[in-house]
Amino acid sequence: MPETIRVLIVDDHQVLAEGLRALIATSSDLEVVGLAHSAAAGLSEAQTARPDVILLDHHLPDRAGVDIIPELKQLLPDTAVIVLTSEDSDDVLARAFEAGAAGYLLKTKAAGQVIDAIRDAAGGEMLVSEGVLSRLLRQQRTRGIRDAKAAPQLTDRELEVLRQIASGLGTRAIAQELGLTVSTVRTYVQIVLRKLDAHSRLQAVMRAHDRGLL
Amino acid sequence: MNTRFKTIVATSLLLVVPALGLIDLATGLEYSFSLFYVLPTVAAAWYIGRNFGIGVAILTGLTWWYAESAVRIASLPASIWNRGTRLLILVALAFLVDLIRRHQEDLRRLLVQRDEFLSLVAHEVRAPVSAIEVLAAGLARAPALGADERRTVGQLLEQAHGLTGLAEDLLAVAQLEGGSDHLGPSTFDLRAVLTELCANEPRVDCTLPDRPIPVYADRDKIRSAALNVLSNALKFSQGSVEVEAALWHDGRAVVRVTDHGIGLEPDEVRRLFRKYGRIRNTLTRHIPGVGLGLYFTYLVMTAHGGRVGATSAGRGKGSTFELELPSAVIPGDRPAGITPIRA
Repeated sequence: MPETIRVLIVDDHQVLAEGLRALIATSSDLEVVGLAHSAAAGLSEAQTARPDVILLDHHLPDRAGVDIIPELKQLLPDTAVIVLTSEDSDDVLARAFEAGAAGYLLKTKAAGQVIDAIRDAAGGEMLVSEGVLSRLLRQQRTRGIRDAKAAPQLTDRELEVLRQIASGLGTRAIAQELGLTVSTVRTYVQIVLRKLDAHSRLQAVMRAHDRGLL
Repeated sequence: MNTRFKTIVATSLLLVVPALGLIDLATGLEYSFSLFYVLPTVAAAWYIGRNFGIGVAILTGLTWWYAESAVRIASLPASIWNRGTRLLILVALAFLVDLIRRHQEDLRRLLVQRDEFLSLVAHEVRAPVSAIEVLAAGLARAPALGADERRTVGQLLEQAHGLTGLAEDLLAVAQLEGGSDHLGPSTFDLRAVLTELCANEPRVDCTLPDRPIPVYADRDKIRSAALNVLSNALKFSQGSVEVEAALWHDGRAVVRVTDHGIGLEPDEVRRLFRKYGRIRNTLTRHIPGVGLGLYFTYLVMTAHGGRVGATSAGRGKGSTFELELPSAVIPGDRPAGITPIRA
């Protein structure tokens, strides 16, 4: 994790965006490097500021926030995107996770959770509760969505780590559960992400589920 | 009500009325059929509407008159009087039942509109109130604030937090009332949820079994449901609150929360889990809340096939709340030695 986490806020609600900037600025390890109020401005700001974490509102005036995640991930593959939403709509969340978002943050919870959420996302953790993830995977199963791509070969250990991620555990908890060091777990996570061609743990879980690995 | 159902009801009633007349005719004067003659009119006005109700009332009145006149000879004026008054009573009944039905439909529509309006307001206020909360949270962390300013910002933050909480509660209740599609169940140890909730409250005395309590449920929702019950116990009592949990031998996972606070009267227990069922009296007036928390808990538990209940020995004698969930363990597979928390 970088020493100072650089954050870009993309939200058309100016008061909320300013409030988030003021709140984030109170943490010495976080720095707001840009503020954008539209999807186009967000994309351009992301290219110049190259943040570590992007707080991305879903309801933007020009485009839906989740629709620009693939472009953001193409520009900045290592940047974590947190989707800011007013409600945990299954459709929005499924699209966000499949596009490679690290997770989502409800605006009503932002005051209490945004700082931890940014730190967790920068550390590669996924920001989604077990309940929401389980609900989305169940719906995916009900709709019968299956990825045509063949499932990659994962070792037993990699599969074990993947299952722990899918059950909502963070790096430390997985390390504790499997009796491994945190850095070993991070290495396994990177391998799993690479094999599944995923930009985030959430995307890896969705894809693993698509391909019948979970 | 769908058209097919209405057609079936209407056809049945049109067949039932003459059949009733024939039975009345066949059984003679000894047997009274007054109630049975009334029922088709009530059913027609309730399920189909006023005009059909009046039609059935007239048909019934004529059938009744015919069945009676065939077995009992009455003078013409008496016959006309009997026929006329019965017909009038039946038609009035059709009007009355239809009126009640319309009032009930209006009431139901109003309740739906009220809930929709509240959801809309909750939806719309979330963004600005979240912005206020975020701004206040940023201010509260500013190092240059004096004690007075810090207190004021703290109050601002608390009020904004209360408002976002209310908006969230309204929307969560609306979501659950819409069905259980929003549940994301997984298997987890109920003890982990309770340990986390108890850890944040020094007044809570938590007694959990050594063995896991596996349940298959939406973890977030169960956590919120248990938190509501625990928060209530803390809000309405001063002393310690006991939390116990166990896996019963019949496969149910049970959480019991006991407080020694203001207690409940029997009629209060009955309305506690209703929507906006907040108990309002001199003891509770100063405690904030609108009566959605326990209703949310009730919705969550029933959506999982579980239940929630409360008991109290009366005013000032504390209360006990019990949450019950089907366990994820098949009873035959469960290890022995799990102690139930009640016989």
